[in-house]
Amino acid sequence: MDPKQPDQTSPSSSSPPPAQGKTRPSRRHFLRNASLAGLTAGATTLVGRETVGEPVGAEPTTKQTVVADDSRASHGGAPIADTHGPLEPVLPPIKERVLALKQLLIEKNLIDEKTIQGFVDYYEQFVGPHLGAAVVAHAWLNPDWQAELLAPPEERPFQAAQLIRDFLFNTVNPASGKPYLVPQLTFGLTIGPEGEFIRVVANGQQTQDGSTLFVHNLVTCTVCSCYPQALLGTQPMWYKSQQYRARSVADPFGILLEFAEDAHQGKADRRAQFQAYADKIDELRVWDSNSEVRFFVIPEMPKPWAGLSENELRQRITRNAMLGAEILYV
Amino acid sequence: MEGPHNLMGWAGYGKIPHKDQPEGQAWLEGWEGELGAIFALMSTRFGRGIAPDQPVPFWGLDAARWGRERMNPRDYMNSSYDGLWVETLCSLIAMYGDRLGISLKDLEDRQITTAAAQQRADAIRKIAFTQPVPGCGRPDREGRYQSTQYDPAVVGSIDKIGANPKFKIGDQVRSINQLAAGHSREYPYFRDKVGTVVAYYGLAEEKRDDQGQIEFQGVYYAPYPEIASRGLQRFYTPVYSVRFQGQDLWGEDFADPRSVVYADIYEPHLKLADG
Repeated sequence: MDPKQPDQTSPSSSSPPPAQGKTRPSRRHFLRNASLAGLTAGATTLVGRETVGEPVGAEPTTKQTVVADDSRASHGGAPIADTHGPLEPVLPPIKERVLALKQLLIEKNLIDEKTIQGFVDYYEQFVGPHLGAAVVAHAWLNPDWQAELLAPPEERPFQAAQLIRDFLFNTVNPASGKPYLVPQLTFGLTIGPEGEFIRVVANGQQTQDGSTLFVHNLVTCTVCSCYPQALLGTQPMWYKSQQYRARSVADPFGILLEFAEDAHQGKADRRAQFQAYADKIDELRVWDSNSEVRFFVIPEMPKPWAGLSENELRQRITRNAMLGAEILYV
Repeated sequence: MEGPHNLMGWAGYGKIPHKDQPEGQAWLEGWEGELGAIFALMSTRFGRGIAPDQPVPFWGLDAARWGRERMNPRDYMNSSYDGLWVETLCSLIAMYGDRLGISLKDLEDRQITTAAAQQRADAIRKIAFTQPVPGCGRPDREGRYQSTQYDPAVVGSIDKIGANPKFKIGDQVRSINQLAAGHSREYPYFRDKVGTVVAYYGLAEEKRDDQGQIEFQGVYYAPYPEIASRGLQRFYTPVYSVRFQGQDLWGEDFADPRSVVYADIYEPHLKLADG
């Protein structure tokens, strides 16, 4: 936010309430405005039953009435409401609430603009799927290293974080001419936020109890949005969505298909590539990130990419593939 | 606790939105990053203790998860992802406001949250503090739990807890049933189900050098969320990776026989299947 415009973040009695969109002559809208006006003026009593419960043109009555709180409902009522006390006011849009909260915490000297900006810069400019892609390309070309990532010794189940740290610290990113990772950007952690307890899994043929299976892995977090941020940056909105969180555990094949259909965009050969891949799957493993462990997928390398350099491979690996939601298309 | 946050397979939400979000785009809108920063900075502040003689209460991701679960289900369902974080932050600030110099009225006056929302969250919190936590019994009057197995002060150290896992790889385990107002990582969809232990994550105290750099041991070190989410104590339990067949979770006729789900389960949530 531009610090020169603090008035936008700090609703006060001298500034008007936030814009409420188009005017609709409904009771819901009246409630909303009454609430905001009441709060803005510091007169919360305006939001009482007496004020809003009076139907226009009704017979005068002395009887006390109970009013349904449909202030947030769009389907004719909100039965799951807090029915005690005055009706709950409707708050401004979420962005305004966030900026107001930030302003309050800054005023109380609990946070500061510079550190906030440092956090934002880390996620916008430094960390991102390019780090995970570097790991995947390196693993593809170094099977021994990949095996160490995939099958850690029992006494060090999360040794992958240390292996990845060594790799990222000692490998120059061709795009920047600097190492992928430097100590100042780990925040005192091994590779960065949510990067300690990394469990690496791979898509493709693998042997299990003597039989060979084609395994595909899908990463999710059904209750929140846990994510290997140190390798992939911030979660994309689809990963955080209730839609994905709900369906990923129960209908993983449906998820793959939905991503594939969106990725086709009229490219018929992509449809064929996906179908060929999906037909191979013997086992689809969904990883629900319900502890502090974070899962990271090494996708299957498309056959036509054999012979490409590590740097060429790196540029072809997508974020969605490192979560298992999508396959890599040639 | 139960609520709409346990999305667990529900249909009816429709197609997944924003699948085309570009790789280089960290957030849909810039202020989302600021919201993340606010949570991270406030967590750090609490993690260090608000004052030198006040190492607790603290908050962390566990408390943050419980914070959103205590929202009115109606509001949870109507919230954007960021809306969940704002309510969580408000509940934590309101709860510890006396130590931060912020009152609920400050939050109300600036239209950041409502008194009703916070009173509701607080009421659920009070109920939770009358209830047992698996492996830790019931709380005392101060809301503190006891455990001879998972309290490092009683056992001797976090490492000692980690050295004695009850289960081994290959064990068939059944998850317990529960119905709690507190936060639990044992989600309803895998309660009272039989699965196989496929990994033990180890457990050791987090070590840092004098520069504050972590000296990672390659094993797990996060606390037991059920207790940590309450902000008063940190207990530690062994955590296992448990494999479930999709059909055991969702029904033979409904799950693809090729689907399996791996969940990380805390030791107090498990029993041997034939035990």
